[in-house]
Amino acid sequence: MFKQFLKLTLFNLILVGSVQAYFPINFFRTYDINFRTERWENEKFKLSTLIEGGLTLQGRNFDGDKVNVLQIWDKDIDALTMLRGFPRDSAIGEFFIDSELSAVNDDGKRGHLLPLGTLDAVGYSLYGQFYLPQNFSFISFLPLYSMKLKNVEFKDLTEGFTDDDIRVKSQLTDNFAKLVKDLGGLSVGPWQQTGLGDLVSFFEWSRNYPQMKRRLKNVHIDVRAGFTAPTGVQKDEDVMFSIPFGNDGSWGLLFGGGLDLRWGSHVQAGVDVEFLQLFGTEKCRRIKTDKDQTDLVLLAKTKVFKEMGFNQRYNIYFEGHNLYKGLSARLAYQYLKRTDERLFINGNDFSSEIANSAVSLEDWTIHEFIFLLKFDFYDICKQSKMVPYLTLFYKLPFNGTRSVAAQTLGLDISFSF
Amino acid sequence: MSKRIFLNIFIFISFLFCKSFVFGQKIADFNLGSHRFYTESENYTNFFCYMGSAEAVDKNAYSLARIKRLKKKGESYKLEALAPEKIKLNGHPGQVNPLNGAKISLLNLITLYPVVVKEGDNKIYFMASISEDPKMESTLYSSKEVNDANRKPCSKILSMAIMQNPSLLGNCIFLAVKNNKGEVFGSEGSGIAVAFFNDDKLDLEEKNVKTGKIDKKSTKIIDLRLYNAELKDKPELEEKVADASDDKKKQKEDKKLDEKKPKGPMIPKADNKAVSINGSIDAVKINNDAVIMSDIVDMHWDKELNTLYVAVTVKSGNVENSGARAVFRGQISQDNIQAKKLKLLPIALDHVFKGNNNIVGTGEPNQEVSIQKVRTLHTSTLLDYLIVVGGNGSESAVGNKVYALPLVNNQKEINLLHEIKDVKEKRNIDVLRKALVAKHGSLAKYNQAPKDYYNNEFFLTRSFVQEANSSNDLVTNNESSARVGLEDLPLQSNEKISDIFIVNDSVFVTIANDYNGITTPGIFHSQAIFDDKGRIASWTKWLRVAGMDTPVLGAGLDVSIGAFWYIAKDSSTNKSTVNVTKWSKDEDQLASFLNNQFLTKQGGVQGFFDISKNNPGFNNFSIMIATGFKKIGLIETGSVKNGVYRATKDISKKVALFDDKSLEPVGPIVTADVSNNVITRDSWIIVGGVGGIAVLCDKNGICWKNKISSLSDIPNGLTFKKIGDYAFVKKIQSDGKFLYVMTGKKLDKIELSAESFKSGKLNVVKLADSLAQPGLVFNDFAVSDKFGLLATSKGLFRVGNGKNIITAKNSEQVSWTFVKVPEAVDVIAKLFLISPTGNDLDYAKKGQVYVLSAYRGTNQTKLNRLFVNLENEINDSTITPVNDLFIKNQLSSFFEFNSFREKFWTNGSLLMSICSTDLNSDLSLNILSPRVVCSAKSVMIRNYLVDLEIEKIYQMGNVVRNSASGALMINGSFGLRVNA
Repeated sequence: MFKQFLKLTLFNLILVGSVQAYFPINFFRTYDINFRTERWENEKFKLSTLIEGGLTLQGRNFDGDKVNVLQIWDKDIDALTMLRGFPRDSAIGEFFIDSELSAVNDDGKRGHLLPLGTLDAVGYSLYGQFYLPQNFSFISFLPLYSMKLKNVEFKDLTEGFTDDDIRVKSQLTDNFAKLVKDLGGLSVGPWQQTGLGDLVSFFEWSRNYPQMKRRLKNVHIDVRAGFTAPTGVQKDEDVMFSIPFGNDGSWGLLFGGGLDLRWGSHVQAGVDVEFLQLFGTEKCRRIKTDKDQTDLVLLAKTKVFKEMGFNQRYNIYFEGHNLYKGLSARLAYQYLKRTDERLFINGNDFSSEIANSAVSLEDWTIHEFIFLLKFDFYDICKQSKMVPYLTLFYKLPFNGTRSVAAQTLGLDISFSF
Repeated sequence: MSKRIFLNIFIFISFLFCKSFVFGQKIADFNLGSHRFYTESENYTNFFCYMGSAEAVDKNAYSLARIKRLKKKGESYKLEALAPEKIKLNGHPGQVNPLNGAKISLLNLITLYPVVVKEGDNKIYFMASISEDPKMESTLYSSKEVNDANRKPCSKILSMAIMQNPSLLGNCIFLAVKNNKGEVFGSEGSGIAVAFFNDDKLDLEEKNVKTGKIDKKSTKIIDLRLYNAELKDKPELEEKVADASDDKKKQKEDKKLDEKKPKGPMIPKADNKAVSINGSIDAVKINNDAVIMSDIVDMHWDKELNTLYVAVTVKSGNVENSGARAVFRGQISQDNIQAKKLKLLPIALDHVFKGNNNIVGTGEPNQEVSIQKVRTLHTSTLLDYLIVVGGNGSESAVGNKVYALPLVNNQKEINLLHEIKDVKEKRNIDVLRKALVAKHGSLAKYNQAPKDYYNNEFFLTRSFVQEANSSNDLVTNNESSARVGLEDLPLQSNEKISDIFIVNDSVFVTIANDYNGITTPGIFHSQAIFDDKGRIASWTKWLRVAGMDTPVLGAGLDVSIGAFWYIAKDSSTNKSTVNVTKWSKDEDQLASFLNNQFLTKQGGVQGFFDISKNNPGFNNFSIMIATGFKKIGLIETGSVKNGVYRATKDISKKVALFDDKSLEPVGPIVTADVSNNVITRDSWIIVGGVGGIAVLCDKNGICWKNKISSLSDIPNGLTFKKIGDYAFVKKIQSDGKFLYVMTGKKLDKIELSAESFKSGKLNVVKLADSLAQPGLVFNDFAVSDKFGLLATSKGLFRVGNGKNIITAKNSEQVSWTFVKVPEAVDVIAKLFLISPTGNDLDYAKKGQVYVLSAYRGTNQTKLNRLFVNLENEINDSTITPVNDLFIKNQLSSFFEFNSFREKFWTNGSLLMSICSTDLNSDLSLNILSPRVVCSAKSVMIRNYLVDLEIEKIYQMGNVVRNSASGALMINGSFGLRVNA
């Protein structure tokens, strides 16, 4: 037993996987059930590696329309309301008055900036599965991300026919980036980040129930439960659209299960559900100080406790199994959802009600299809100590709200021992 | 310079003898005699105009009619005939309607239901129900013939007032009646009759259709009963009438029970006798008998003071020490309303009337006092005033005078008597109470400090409690506080106004006479100005309202939509039309024209300014200036026609547009003025905006000299010349010698001279500079004589004690001094000036300043009002807050809005707040509930959104009153909207 424990620990240290529930993106979910391979006879453990690259990363707004990634929460940045909600004697309040912007109304165009940017993401990850007695196994993931926000620009929508327009241009939108940095310490330029994601570990019980029926030949059931640990790079509150490589410092409980049915030798289908409950954390975060502020650029930063949303993933697939010498093809539909989050502000300087009006706290969803081509080398290599398993996949997001949906291409290589 | 032409049309509603009501189309003619306006006090959703015919026309179902506004938004109007041929009369269905085709001489209302008197009749009729279903009959009740004070049928009912009560049975109708012989009012037998409502039952026989038998049916009806309300008579009492009931057994049982019980309250016999009114009653005469001179009698019941005010024309006796009062009070005992006695009381004690200038009375013999109309005003500072038309003099000498006199309100003192715990004092409660009741509603000592009442430290109300007890206590007719309109109405003294009505702090008067000498028809208004104690300190001069100058028989203000209803008379045809003002865009040709010239995509009309005929550069001529993106328009609003200054009708030929290259450096133009140097008699049109200021002048720096009388008098070939080195100019104002220029960071004073405009070398005095103080921004300023106010982001500042802004050479000599604005937001955003003369430059001469403090960052807005009284030198009491209170001994703001507001406008009756469309709010133009008083909070006040018929308002300007026509106008990104 002690040896097994050591092995488990070793896996945890060297194997990588990923979980990404905090930020509304479908990138890097390598513990996805669709990438899981079958366990073969006498298999002791499995080591996998995955590389995934974004072909395009497209944002989806509230209505589900395709938008720039920087517009998933709001269609633009409202630089005028950005300055509201601060005490008159604060630095921002003083600037607001001194610049005479406090006398300017927000007519929907004045002080509005269209944010544009390109998000690139590349990832590499490893995960391992250690088989235990009684159909149990232990699985652990740790990801490695590299993300880049580039080509950032702000298109000023302010017109120039009134004194207010011209005042807003001269005082606010013409030097927006510098102003935001000076007043709120927030960098709105491009960024690049590479680092670890959150560790995910769970136990899984799975078992095949061979069927002697005319068509139905096998039923496979699996149930899993585990946790996520905050090992990933956290969100940088001083960088616009900073993406945490995990759950932003939160621990989480993961649980789920699935059912796979196989008819004959080549037809397989299944369903799977998985839930992740994250624990709230308290840290300095950017909050809204006016209900009309837009989420992308917020100047107020204060210590808040965040009650995390409940994450759900639903998966349905249809597979042509072992069509030719270990080659399988799968089409999966996946639905990802996170429920609303809530902020609890320490102190009376800011309004919790206003802070909680942030769109980014609202639920988000992603619908996607995943096409997989799998090649199982078991028949070829069953005599060897190591059996490889190759998966090529293509993710095609087709709908969603308030999220970044990545159209990705990836490759997963597993080695069974 | 190009000139464009347009017509100014009035959108009017006319009706009559028709069953439909079409907006903007005259359908039929009608001759109106009497009218009343009614709005539901709960939510002001509907508004009604009741009208009575001025002539008898056979089978005219519209002899009594009403128009109602059905909805607040997207107004629709409905005309209803209220006098069909058949009606349920006194409980009997299918009767001939006595009002059908009649001439209605008097019309009043009990809530929605009319009480009328028809010409040549001495009965009163009460319409208890109005059926909108043609199959159902409305219900009408009539009284018996109204008797005079000699118990003989009166010859005529002259006036009517109604004491309204939540319960119908508590309502009381007062009728001023002439004696049976038809002699002038005040002759023996004339008086005030009193009618009450009683429950009654009516036995009806109805043929049963099935059985053919006659069924007896008993229904409850109303008995409109006249009483002998004369207090000096011995009570002629009868037992209280038992409730109507068909159950005979129960009646018997009740009778037995009643016999055992002590006798209940007694009521006087309904013997229908008017209370005698003549020159010898104590309420009228002073020392010796006076004589009531004419049939002009007006009565007004004040529901807050529970007092009837009666106005007559009286002449004092010719014996020494004689005097007379032309106004007296009537009170129905509140102890036992069933006593139904009208107690007549003098308006003030005998000995306080000295001389012949006390407005409602005289202390001299053989003098006439003529009061033609009487009303009451309850100010937003919670004090009570009597408003009278007339004064000391004969009827033909005072028809154009309106006065306000403070009244005692002892209601709170009377209530406080119940809290007396001391046994000895308790014994005297009745005595104290009677003394207080006797003073209640009488003229108050005009210079007293009002008494404030609190409930657990929270402000409740305020009253004058000391009655006038000496001749020095009575306000006289030369006091600015008493003189509504500060001067005579634009009406010859021997003519009479057609109507007077009061809304909040404003008095409105309608004139139905045609242009004749000084007489100008239309609706005029004057607004009360309050001092630091909440008393009326002065009034604004009469200003025209409603955007027209036709003869008007009567008018009302539909406060929830800010619309005037008025009944216009066509003297040539003797017909009348009912009109409603409306915020119009395309219907108004000025608006239509400007909307096409100042396009929304270019910011629309960014500034709109009224330059009245009082401008030193104008000779009975007035203009408005519209400003926009590199463009201004001058609109001639009024000029002399046939020797009389009148609003321009054909404005289409009276617009001058300036949009040449000379305005390009200014960019968006937000402010404009016609500035003058009264010494050199030069005048200039000066504009300001993002790019600085520019003056319209020739190469010698001259625009025009002396006075001009029309736009065509402005010389050709003038161009705008940029002067100074300014940017983001917010406001300019001139005072006859200097031009004051304010940007967000500085306030300068520039000497107005052609020479400096020619050379470009300006003589500039820096009055204030905020560059050295971060966070200090100038938002508004106002200059009046040597006084000046500067609204900043760090509070309100005034010119320092003993200083003079006119002579100041630098900011040190102005010595800006902080003015504490109670409970205001630090950021003073706007000043709204109420000047007695109507000229903003005179606001320091007993004027009011509304201070809007607002900070968008925290969505806060408060409104304060200050009283400015510059007498000689500026000192600490030159500007003082009006004592608006919420908590004891803690001055407060007048009103706190529940969201950010940019601007404010009031005429004393309407309180409008303005805010450009913002993501936080789309309530662009709001009217606050009709009754905003000093202790009101936003949660208690309704906001009515004015429908400007615009989908998206990017920018709202100011509400501006056209000084020529009285129309309200508002500019913005949409162009212009005109309320007329």
